[in-house]
Amino acid sequence: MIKKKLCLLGSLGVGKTSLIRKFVLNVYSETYLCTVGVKVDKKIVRLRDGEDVILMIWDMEGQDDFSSLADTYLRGLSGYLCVADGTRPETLRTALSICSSMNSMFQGVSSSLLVNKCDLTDRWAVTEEECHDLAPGCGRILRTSAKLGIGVEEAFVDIAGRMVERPHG
Amino acid sequence: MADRRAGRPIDERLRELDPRERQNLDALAKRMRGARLTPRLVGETLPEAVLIGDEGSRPLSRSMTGITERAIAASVEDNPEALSTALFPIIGAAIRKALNKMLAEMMESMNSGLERAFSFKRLGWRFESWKTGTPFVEIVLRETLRYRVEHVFLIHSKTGLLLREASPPGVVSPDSDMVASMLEAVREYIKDSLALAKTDAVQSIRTGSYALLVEDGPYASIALFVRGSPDPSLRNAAQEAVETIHLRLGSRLKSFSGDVGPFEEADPALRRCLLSQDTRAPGGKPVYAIVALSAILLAAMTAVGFGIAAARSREAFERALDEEPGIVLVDSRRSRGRRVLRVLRDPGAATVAELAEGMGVDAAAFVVEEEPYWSPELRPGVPVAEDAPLVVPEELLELARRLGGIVILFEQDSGELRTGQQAAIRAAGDLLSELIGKSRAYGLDVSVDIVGHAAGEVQDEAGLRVSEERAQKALAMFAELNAPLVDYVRPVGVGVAEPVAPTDGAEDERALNRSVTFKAIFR
Repeated sequence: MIKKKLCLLGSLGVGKTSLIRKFVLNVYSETYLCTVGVKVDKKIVRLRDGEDVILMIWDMEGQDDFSSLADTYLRGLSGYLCVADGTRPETLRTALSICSSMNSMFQGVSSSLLVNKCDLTDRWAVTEEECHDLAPGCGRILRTSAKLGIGVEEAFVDIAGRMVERPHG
Repeated sequence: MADRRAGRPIDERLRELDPRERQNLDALAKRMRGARLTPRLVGETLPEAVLIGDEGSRPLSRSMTGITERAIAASVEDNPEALSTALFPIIGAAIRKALNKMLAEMMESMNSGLERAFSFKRLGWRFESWKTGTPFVEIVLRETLRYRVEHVFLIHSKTGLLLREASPPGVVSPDSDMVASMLEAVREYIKDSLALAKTDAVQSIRTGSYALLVEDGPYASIALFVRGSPDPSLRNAAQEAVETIHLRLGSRLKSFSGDVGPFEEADPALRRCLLSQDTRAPGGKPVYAIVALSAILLAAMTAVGFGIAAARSREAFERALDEEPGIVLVDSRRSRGRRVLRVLRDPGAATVAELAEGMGVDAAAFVVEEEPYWSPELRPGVPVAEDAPLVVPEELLELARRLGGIVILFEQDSGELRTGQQAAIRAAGDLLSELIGKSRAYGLDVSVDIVGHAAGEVQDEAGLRVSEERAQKALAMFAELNAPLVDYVRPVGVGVAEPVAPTDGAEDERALNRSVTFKAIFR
């Protein structure tokens, strides 16, 4: 059995915890996020080739820039999901900053940018062009809705598959 | 010929050689011309050279000391991790050895300290130590330290991922992957919060009845989840396990990329950490019952002890009482929880209370029933017949004196016994019987006069009659007790002729004259 460490990063309130809650069965209380700054969840993901991967998902407390990130929690990660809120363009800029710092610290790790809250179409403030501009820094870009479950499973399965292809213990 | 050849140039002489010899010489010359110390040549000869170099008066090892020290210093300066990683598997064992020695000395000191200390619990442990041959310290530790390792995790240090785990049978495992990762997160959090150095790891956490011990290696950690109070040996077990695992799986740990399969080999080392300190039987010992029973037993033993001591003291007192001149102990019995002593006491003898005080005996513990007694020891002169043998054995004389000392009291102007005279009559009867029996054994004849007395200052008819009545009454009493005795006794009424006590004394003294006494006569 393969085990991988995956981190979820992004600004406050972008919906990281909601995405995880939609994806996994939570065991630990979310108060850990406030007290310790991180909460770990687990999900066994079946890849497209039928192989199972245990994802240990580290849900990090919301950050507005990379300097506030507790880098000790990131050690040994195989991939990360950077989450932004599609109704708040500033969270997209933060995501870009985080991805940039991450790429310089952890070369070659798999990553995706999840632009969340795609169910709020009337308040959506991010254009397709803006998203594509972010792609080189943040890896694959996916639209998700934790509320409706849109793109959540796909996002996790996708990055799990890429992490297994690119081992970075 | 030889001289001639020697005078020619060397080239000419070489040309005269066999072509094969010339070829060999050329090859040799060529090799010599190109000879120099190549690394390969040094590499081949260095091991042997080092061995030879170390044998001389200036051994090579001594020469290399400084260089080696500088090389190690440079290595530590450049990359301390390389050396610490290389030494890790052995340094732990060396430190443990030193610590074990120190602990053993500490235990010894603790043992002697405990030996001086006293408590009932420790007394029990000491008894167990004596009974089982187990060192006292071991029992103390066993009684004070109880624990059980419920989970052992092997955690990859860099990723915080759980590699392997072990639990004793029957213990329900939590979601170990999440616990292991969260544990790493919490350890990092504590480290960051307290601004600890990178090398300072959180190695133990205590919460409620659980303790968490973590032993870190270069690439992986071992975490022990312990219920109860961990024994110091647990840390040693974890250290040994982490060293063993690094020794065997160090390279796999270093290059770990998510596949936990190869770490199955770590399972035996992990299982060796599943130690437990056996607790007592479920529900524990019935401590209170044992304490209560012990207290009762102790009280009973104390009571018995006191009882024995009191009995010995009483017996000593009674012996002393009986041996006291002028006092005869007639009877000793228990009545209504108290000891009743019936004694015959000559008015001239010490009182029972005085004797008790002299012996340190509590007189209040006795009820003394005292009757008057005319002691032959205090008042010598037991009559012996004129024609008696010259020598009467002292044993018989003593019996005669004791018999002569008994006074049986009667009511005033009456042949009726005063109350409470039964004991004196029995004592007289016993003495009479013994005296007759022993006299016959000695081949002597003895007869006893039962002498009736009367109180009064003047001898008169009434006095003589009442004294005879008293003597006859006593005879009748003896006949009831032991009929054959009457053949050896003779009732005699003497009136006031032989007063037991002064006739003009106090009433207590004059009452002694309303009596019968006994007079033995040997023939």
